[in-house]
Amino acid sequence: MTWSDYTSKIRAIINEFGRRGLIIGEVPLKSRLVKNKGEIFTKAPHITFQDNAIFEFSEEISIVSNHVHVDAYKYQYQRVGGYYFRYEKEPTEDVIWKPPEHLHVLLKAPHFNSPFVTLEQVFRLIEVNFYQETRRKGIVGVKLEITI
Amino acid sequence: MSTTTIQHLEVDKIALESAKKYFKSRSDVEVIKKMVDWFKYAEEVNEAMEQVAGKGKIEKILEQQTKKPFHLEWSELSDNELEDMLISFEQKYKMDSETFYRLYREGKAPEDIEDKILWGGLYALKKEKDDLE
Repeated sequence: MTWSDYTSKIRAIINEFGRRGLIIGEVPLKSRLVKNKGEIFTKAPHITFQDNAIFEFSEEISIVSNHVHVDAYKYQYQRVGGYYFRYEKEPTEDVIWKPPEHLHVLLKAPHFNSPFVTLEQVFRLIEVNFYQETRRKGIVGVKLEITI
Repeated sequence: MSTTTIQHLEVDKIALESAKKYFKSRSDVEVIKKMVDWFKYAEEVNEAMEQVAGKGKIEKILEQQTKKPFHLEWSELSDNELEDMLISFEQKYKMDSETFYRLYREGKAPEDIEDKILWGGLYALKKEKDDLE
């Protein structure tokens, strides 16, 4: 897959969710390739879901022999009430404290170990959990008051 | 689109007026006040209003009147934008990009740098660009 193919795929994923009404407003998407290094990301106001939840993402890409490698990523979904989760892949010096691919939920720590995920997988997860009528009832509207 | 800010959320004024008209009887004034208060938590608005109006009706009003059209604005990051973003990160986190990048690659970037993955990626691009020139 070339860089052009990859950025087209990312745009197609966002467009699909926009066409279906899950995403509203303007989505400023930026990308750049220099030699075999690429970056694709959203600028503020990022991606706005139909209920004003915000999704922010960035990916650091390497293209090697026409193969796309995602070297680092950040996929963050934040609801208006403050709830958020964030999948990240980044360099680490301690794979127990912070595995390279990890997940944050509500707090900066722990870095929960996570499989490698893609933008499309995270979008599908968000749709099913927060925008699918039968399943969202178990999450949306729940109030939390936690002391750790 | 005419909007008003309630707490931290911008709400379409037309949608608010429309929702208010929906609740015409005086006995519903308190509901309206509560509704406005609840606008700060968008996901709770429908639930609260639906208790009065009936399931699905308020959702439809808000959906029709507050929906901003989707538009994907895709463009290539220019050299100037790249430089500007690096400078803004340096100012925001009070650290030069080179120092940050070394820490980031070693897995030692401070956890409070929320933009670390984007900053690291953009600086890697700059390094590639500088190598080319």
